[in-house]
Amino acid sequence: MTLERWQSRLAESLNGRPEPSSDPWWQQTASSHGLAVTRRIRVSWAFHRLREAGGLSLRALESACQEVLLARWLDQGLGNAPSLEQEVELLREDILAATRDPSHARSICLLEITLSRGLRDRERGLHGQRISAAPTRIAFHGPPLDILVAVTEGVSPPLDTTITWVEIWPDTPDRWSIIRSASGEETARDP
Amino acid sequence: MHPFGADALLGIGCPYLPVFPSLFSPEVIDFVEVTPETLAVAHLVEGALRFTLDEQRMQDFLAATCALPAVLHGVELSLGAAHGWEEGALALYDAFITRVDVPWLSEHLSFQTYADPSGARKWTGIPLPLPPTLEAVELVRSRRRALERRYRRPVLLENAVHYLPDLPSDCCLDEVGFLNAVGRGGRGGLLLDLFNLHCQARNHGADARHWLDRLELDLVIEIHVAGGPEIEGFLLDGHDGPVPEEVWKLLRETLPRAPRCRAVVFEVLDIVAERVGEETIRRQLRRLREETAPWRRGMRDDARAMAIAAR
Repeated sequence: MTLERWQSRLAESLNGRPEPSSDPWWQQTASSHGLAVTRRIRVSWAFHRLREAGGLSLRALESACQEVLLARWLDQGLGNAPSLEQEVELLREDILAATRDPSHARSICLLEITLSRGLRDRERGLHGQRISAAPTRIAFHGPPLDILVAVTEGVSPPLDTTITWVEIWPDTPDRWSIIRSASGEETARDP
Repeated sequence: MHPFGADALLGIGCPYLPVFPSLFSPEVIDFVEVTPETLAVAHLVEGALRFTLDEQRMQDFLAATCALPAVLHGVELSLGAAHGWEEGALALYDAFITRVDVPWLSEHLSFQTYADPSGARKWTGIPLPLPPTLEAVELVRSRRRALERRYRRPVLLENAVHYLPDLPSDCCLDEVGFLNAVGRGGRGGLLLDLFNLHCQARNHGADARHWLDRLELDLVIEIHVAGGPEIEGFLLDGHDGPVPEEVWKLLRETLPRAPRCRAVVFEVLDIVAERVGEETIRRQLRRLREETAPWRRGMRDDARAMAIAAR
């Protein structure tokens, strides 16, 4: 067996896709305690990467919900690459689906999704096509910066009845600190 | 010639830990070991890994370590991947070396990427070991030669830890034979991680001293000492705690027999540094200074004798 083939086979075994073999080494390895330990270490590293990639959105979820999502992602074999850039949007959509409406977790997740899409579009030079587009508005149930700081510190403040909008313009997604309170009319139209 | 050339004694060092910038003073250590990947942001561009140095992290690194020489210790190159190494890591080292001169580079004897059955490039999730085979020896040696040509500096190769049954091998090669074979030739040699060696010996029922007796210690340019936890019957290369007494003993026995050794590092991973704590790290570095004092004195005397002879 070539080295390339051996490496592919070992890595696939580690990721739970072992290839049946009559070779004694592969048979011994497949059922070995050492491979099981190596797999658990891989999962713990992937868990760490996924938690980092989930960002503040993931941290804003209740811990039980976080665990369910992380377990599902790990089952899908995510988290092995040093950069989870390609998976991040998928992960955030998954987090969004797990949030309650209204909740701080939902507001934060919408904020992170909008920001990353805006930054990505700008990197790809798409913003010029949408220069006249309206801003995306995200409702926060309380002062947005206070909520973000609290969630960063692991605290979930109570939902405020006053809504504050964060507005993100497509051509300046990095200047999102344009915050204003929703008018009575806006709150009535889009509670 | 670089002021801290490959022949210069660097002394004792530790990895760059941004959470403890005050460690990086000549009163505490003689040099810093830096992993450029920790100063960069990783991106995936059309399925390939690309790194961009983070300017703020670079500035913090330069400010904290400006009084010390640095050596480069890579982690994402996937040196032993048979289908191809990580070009993005090379581009990162290129960019780093234009800003920070280093006397040598070191890499791990492992692979982190592979081609899946469909031929697509995938990541293993953790470094996996290389089997002691002639094909693996040839691959590593050719990659090391390519790195030494590219950077015009010595390249050191670090021994790894694994928890699998004994790996398939070619006749006449085993763990130690593999290290001797890949360490020979070229300008560099081995980065001997004594904690990894201790883990390997413990986990596979071998005797670390017996391995050291067979290892060609004149290939060793740098030594790592570290600590790690024991989990489920395996000693893990966690690099997240104090050095065990057995490893200090191995260091005392190895250093006088490694005539080309220029540097000894207490290795602790940056992601666990806060948990380990600055005081523990400082204590380990003080111990490292004490343990290596005779070696450092001897090296300085040798250097002086060589300088006199050359004059």
